[in-house]
Amino acid sequence: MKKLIKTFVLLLSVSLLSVTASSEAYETTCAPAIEEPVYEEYEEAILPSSTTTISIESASEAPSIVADSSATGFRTMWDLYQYWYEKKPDGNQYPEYVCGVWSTDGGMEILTVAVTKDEKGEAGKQEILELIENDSSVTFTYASYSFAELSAVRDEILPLMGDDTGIFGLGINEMENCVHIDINTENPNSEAIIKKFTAGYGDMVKVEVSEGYTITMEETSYDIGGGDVVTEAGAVITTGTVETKSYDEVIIFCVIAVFVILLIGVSAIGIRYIRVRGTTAGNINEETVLTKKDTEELVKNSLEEPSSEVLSSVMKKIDE
Amino acid sequence: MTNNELSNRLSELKNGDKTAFEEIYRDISACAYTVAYRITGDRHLSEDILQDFFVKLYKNPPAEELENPKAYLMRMVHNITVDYLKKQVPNSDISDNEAVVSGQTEQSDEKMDIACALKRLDSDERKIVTLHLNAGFKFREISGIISMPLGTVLWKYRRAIGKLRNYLNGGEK
Repeated sequence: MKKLIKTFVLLLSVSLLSVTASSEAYETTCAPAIEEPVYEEYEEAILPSSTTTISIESASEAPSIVADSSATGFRTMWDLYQYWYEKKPDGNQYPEYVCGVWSTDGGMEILTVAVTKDEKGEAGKQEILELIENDSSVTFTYASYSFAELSAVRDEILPLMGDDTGIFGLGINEMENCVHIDINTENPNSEAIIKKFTAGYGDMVKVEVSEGYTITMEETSYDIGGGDVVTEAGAVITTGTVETKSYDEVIIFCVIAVFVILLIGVSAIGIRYIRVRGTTAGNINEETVLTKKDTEELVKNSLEEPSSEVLSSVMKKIDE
Repeated sequence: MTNNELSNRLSELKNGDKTAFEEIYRDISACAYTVAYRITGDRHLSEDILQDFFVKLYKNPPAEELENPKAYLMRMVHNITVDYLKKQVPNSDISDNEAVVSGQTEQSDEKMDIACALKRLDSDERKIVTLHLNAGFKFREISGIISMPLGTVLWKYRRAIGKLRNYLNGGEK
């Protein structure tokens, strides 16, 4: 009997661990920002393979590459950029003197790096030139605020997002060297918030106003710039060890475990939009609530057809 | 048509094979036209672009075998479209062209809805959505094509899909 109980406890621990794993997976798959192919590609492009959700604090604690002895041997700026995001062992952000990085030539051959307008920025510039072999793969510009500073401002604003404030978009614009905020002016608090932001942060923030856009639970994920994505939705539970002191304790533990599992399930359903599909697939009608995936599918499948004369006209032209 | 099949048809084009050409036309004309139309917002101009594209393709088919022929062809369409727009009035935009939507009365409600929803996007957003969803480009490639940082492309795409979804769900008519 004792053996049976032990086996049961073992199975339950495994199931709890898998629930934890699935709750982490929920953060990355159920939250729509990551559910979409866009973020799969996003991760593939930028995020380190072992990390899917990045701590907000990491942005403000962006370490410098000065002390990083492993940061050597980069052929181009693009390689160094990838290193900052994918391979750097102690973080996944720019060094503290970097304000932003973007493409200059429309491809990845030449990148522009904005550095801070101070000694640190100058030193960083030299450091980058020493690190990369091909100096022509980078151009430099100066900006007022480092990415880490902008990240800190963004993190301060992040908790304010939602229907109460009317803020429905937030991100760092590296080229403009500011935190970009989208705000719905129909919200009664929006005017006060815009004033507060412009007075408090000055040119560190840029507020874009629009009317009638509201945030939904499914949309509460934020591009935190530089390739990081923070999602608000997603439950986190912790696992603990269970001692098999008595049969009663096991029963209580089982009941709690089942309750926790049910709670997570219900929360997951609550957080997600309830999709009510119409009878005809793809139709947009009053009863259908479209998810992002549905919207993408609709746009994808709504191809425009050229008139039939185009082919005959083309054939005529190639015969000439 | 798979990428392999498309690649084979393009190889046959080097010998002036018109049957292969027609097959390519049937396979990608709608997609190419959609990309041109959603960027220009003008049906006639988009048909001119389509004609120009296919004539160029027939006369100068790709010399080497392509890994991703569809992306190559869509990039060609995009480049021709941009060239046409440069010759036209600057800042040509669907949102300025009411005729685009009103001319679609015979189309299905669904298409009308999507056309109206797309009209709500600004030109960058519409271009990103079209290049990703209709032309099948990856965001990294779009970032290169339209000279915009990857983060901005993703940000704008996300915002655009949010706007489309909001509109299609009846949030903002």
